Amino acid sequence: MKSIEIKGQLRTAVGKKDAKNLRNAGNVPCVMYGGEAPVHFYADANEFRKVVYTPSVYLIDLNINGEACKAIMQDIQFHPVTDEILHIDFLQIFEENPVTIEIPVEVEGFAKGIKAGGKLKINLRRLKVKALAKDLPDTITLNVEELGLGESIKVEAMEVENLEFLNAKSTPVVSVIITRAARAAMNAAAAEN
Amino acid sequence: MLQPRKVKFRRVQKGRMKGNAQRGNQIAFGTFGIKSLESAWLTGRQIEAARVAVTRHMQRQGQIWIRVFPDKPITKKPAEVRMGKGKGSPEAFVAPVTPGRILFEVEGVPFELAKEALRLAAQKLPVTTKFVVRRDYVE
Repeated sequence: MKSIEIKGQLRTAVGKKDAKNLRNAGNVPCVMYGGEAPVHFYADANEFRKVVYTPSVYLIDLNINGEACKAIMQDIQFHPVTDEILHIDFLQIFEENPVTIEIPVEVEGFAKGIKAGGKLKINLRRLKVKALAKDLPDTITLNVEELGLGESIKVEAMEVENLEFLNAKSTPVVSVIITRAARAAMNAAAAEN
Repeated sequence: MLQPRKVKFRRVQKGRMKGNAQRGNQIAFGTFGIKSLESAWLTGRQIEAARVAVTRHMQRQGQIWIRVFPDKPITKKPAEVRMGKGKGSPEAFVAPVTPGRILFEVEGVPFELAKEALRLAAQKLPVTTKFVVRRDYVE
């Protein structure tokens, strides 16, 4: 999995007033947990652009006051109106412990069902998986070439080495749905016969 | 027009709309949407007018989600009636909206088409809105 480095500074004080001052100065207050003790720090808001406004998922190499550690983004809070980043939670990861993370789904191929007048619908843009950090892929690629009209690929049908899928097994990930035009054509053909 | 099939109480109190939307403030289903920047009551008619504007402009392509539902009954007294003699009769249903609330979402259409369709929809609403895009959207 791709990784990105973010430089942060330890917070000297915590609380609403301090957090507000940090945001006014163009920083984002953050917390990292999962290790021995939670670490409160802040980083420049521009550093998070590549991590937040993207379909990709990254492992984050945090550098807090010169101390390096690996983490994943666990939670993020936005302002309800302005959509600016208010706070980010990071979960520290260790090589020997599995992590739970959402990986984006990538579709390849041109489905049979689309040629027959259907439309490809991606029901889940991201899949929740559990794996060791070294086994995490950038994306989960699904080949949809064999997918006919009205068919779908469900979570239970997916297999990737060293990955455990945590979504409900019966949930369809991608499906070829029948469009109104295709349904009308099918009804017309049935009426002729 | 959107309205509840049945209601438990025919008349409810006005209530207050304080603060920003604490839920329904992020795009959840589609790719593009409009977000309210003010608080107001949206009537079922206004929501329907906006929906028609979006559907007409998108020419039945793509998919649309309405993220607010008018479930609050509003009463009105008839014209030229003296005060008193009880509360008026139910007139319409409204959806209370606070700043930050996502009102409509669309998917399956190009960026420019969605932006124009949602601009037309916003003109039918009594609030100022802003156009928002899903964070992981790439053209």
